[in-house]
Amino acid sequence: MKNKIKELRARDGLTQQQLANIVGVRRETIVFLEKGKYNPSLNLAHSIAKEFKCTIEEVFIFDD
Amino acid sequence: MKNYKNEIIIGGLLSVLFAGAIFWFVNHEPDATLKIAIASLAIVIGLIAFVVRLIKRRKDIQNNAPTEDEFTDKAKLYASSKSFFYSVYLWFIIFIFNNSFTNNEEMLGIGILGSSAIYGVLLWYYKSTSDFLSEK
Repeated sequence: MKNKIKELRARDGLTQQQLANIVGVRRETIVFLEKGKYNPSLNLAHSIAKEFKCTIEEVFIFDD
Repeated sequence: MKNYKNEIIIGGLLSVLFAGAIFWFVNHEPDATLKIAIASLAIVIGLIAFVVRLIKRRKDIQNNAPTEDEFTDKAKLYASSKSFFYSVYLWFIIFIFNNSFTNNEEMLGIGILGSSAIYGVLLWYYKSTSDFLSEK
């Protein structure tokens, strides 16, 4: 699963630490998410999408 | 650096204390030198790990970041299950070489410490790589 977290974070001018604080996770989790090494829970995916004012599908791209 | 002053001082003092204890045991208990040195080394490593963790936790608190989240929970669960699996092998090896131990306490102690060490190493590895999640 790919995602656009890095691009959206840059668009909104957020650091990894700031995004982590907003969605309530550790910065390392955001790092692993951006690298595509970690698939978030539905709750976390929802929080991230909500923060960027996008839908989950717009942030996370599922490989078919 | 100022923020971590207390932890560094406490860690330094405790390290000196344990290093002193090692030298004392080495000088006063020459027969048990190796065992005591190994036990002391384990204590010092544990102490260093504790201080590092303390420093990281303090940094998290300063950043208003949670010290644990869903990723760390998954890493803990995965490390627990894997460490149980590897501990079974460890105990199997210990029972094969049970004649090498002087008494049962030593055998049990090595087994329990070994299991704890396996868990600690795996937890550290999984938390720092996240490779375990991409396996599925």
